[in-house]
Amino acid sequence: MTTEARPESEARAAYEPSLLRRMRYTPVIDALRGRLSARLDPRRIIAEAGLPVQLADLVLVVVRRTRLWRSEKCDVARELATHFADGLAAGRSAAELSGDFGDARSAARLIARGKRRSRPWPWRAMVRTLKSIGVLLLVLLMVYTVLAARFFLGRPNIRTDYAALLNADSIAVPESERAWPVYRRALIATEPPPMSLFDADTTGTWPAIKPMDQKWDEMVAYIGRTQDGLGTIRQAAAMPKLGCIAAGGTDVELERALHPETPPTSVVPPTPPGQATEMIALVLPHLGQFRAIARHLAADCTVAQLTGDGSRVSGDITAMVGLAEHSRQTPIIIGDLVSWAILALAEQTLGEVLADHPDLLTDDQLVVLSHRLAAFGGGGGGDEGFRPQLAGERMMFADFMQRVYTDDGCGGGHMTAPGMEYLRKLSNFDVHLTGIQPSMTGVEQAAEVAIGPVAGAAMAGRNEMMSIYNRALDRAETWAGTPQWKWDDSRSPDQEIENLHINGTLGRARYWPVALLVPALSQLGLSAQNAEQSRDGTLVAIALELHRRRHGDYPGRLDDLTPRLLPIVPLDRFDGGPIKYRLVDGKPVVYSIGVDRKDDGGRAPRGADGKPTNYAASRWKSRANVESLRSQFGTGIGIADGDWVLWPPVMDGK
Amino acid sequence: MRIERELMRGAGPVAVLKLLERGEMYGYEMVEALSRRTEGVLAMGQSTLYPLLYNLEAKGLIEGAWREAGGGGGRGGRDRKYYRITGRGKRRLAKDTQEWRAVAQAMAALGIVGSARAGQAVPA
Repeated sequence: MTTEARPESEARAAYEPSLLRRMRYTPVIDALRGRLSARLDPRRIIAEAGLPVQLADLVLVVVRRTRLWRSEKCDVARELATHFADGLAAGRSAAELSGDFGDARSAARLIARGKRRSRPWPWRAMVRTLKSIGVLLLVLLMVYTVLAARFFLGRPNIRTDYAALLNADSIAVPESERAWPVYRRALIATEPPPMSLFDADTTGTWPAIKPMDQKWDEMVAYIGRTQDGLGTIRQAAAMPKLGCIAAGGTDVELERALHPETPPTSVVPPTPPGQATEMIALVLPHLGQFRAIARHLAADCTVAQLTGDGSRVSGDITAMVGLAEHSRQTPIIIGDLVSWAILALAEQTLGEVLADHPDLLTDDQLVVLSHRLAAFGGGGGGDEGFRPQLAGERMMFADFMQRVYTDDGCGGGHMTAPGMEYLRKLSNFDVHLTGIQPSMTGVEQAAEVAIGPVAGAAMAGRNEMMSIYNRALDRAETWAGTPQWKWDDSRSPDQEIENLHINGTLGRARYWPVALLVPALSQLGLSAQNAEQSRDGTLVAIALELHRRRHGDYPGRLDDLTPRLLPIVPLDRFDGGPIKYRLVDGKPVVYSIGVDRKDDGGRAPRGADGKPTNYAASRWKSRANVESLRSQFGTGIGIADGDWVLWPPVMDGK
Repeated sequence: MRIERELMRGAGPVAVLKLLERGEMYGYEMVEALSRRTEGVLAMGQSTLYPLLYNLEAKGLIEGAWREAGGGGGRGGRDRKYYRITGRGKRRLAKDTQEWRAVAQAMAALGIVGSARAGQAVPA
């Protein structure tokens, strides 16, 4: 503002705004009417009051400091200017009025507070909301800072070499007594089966090629070339201890021998010296090869049957059982599954021998095989060989935990940044093995870094994670140890997983490691029970054959086989009653009533094409589930109609 | 005599409401009335009065309206903002008046106000 030429005490504030100022303080409506009224300029109002400069400046200072809306500033300016004008009119001096005003700064603050309280409630609500959001953001920022410090500064502490623990039994076996090196020599020295034998375009495929198949001669020739290797395999299978030391790193020499035409594409590098091998990266070469070896033995068995070589047949089947037992010596689920698969192949092979060449094996050979099968896995008989071994899985998870969580010394800890990176790689297992990562954009990387602390905080602590995982495995062990006919779906391992809420969105966020690593536990229990049932069926088949040889015919009842040929009649795992037996056209059929819980007299279910689907009858559904399906959909829907035939062997689809 | 700020904070609003009970007034008029009628005890500057008025207005206890000079009651030929007490303000005044009376009686009973003189013993 400028002053007119008067004595200073009487100098009045003048108003000479620039064009820009006029435009700035003119309401839109006035501007639209073509008038630059500058109605919202407090200076104009103060100038119009004609106050001395001292009082005008005081009003201006107060109004500026309020930081109110323009209309509010104008109101305050008008009111204060009017007040001073009234004071001057009453004969008081500008100095006196200025002195009585009070502190301009606190006045502006208090005036502003009062004016804001008069603003419309939506505005006040919005301000309160924004303030609340601001406070919330501040709190979140503080919390995030704490979480980020915890997350990025935390480091896992690898204390226990779980791989060494897993290998402890194998390491304890003297080298000369370890079967794996013998197997390995045989695999390296033996030509693998030609790819042409796997060709599915022609009838019969390795190892189930029969004399009428096109590839029979080729198979016989291959079997002939590999007798030395098979002999070594049989020697290895007869050794009590496998002694395979699981290690990090691909056995390149073995891989090259097994796949001479195609070099290995994903080579796992060996663990650097001094580092504990990650359990999850352990290479178990024997498990991948044992099934192939078992198929080789089964093919040899087929050829040997036709030449009437009972010793060779007995040796092959015994070797398969030995392979199955060796598989179980690594106490992990995959070891069990491979073991039972090999055992099933051995039983199927033996079943075919009994059905097609009943006189091929001697009584002694049959008795030895029977004892070997009865004692499978445990040495003391019973079902030890069919109890899932979860020690390896527990060690693997504990190893995993120590690589991703901090360690507070009491089993607890929280997720770390390196741990989260490890989890991410593990979710893409090829990346984890080869170390080759897909590239991420900068935005993706930044997002991952930003989210990490929150995701880490959302995850359960180390204690809880271990507890959840072990609970699931405990349930699986209990389930597998419960007779199948007593299974209650509400207590299945799958239901336990459901109860733990691991698989939902929030559950996966909280228990991601468990969701990632927990195996299919209900299926494990079923595989175990099915393997035991198949074994039991084979024992009965052997006992029936021995009875036929000794008495000239088959017994009327299975009880007639006990106790000399069969210690007890095995149970049907679908109903808990004795395993079923009938003579059909004078030929014995050993069977379970299967999933439909109906005794169909040993008739295997048929598919839509009329071919047997024996496997379908073995697929477990609880009795309640079966009855529910029947009541909802009538008979036949989703339930195989027929029995699970255990002997003679039934080839599905044939 | 200047009184403590905290006392003014309690007395100021009820004093203003009481002034407005008789009729509407403008800011300077209120300052003068308060100073004159309380012999300067409740004299307050603009930096105290106007924030107080705006707070009372925000609470709906008083209402302000600009009157243009020469019409609508404006005195002295100048636009002024006149304040009047609202119904809510009257109820609040009645309530505060009761409270102040109770306090005054309590103080009188202690000999702090009323007939008590310096040196006179406070009745047991």
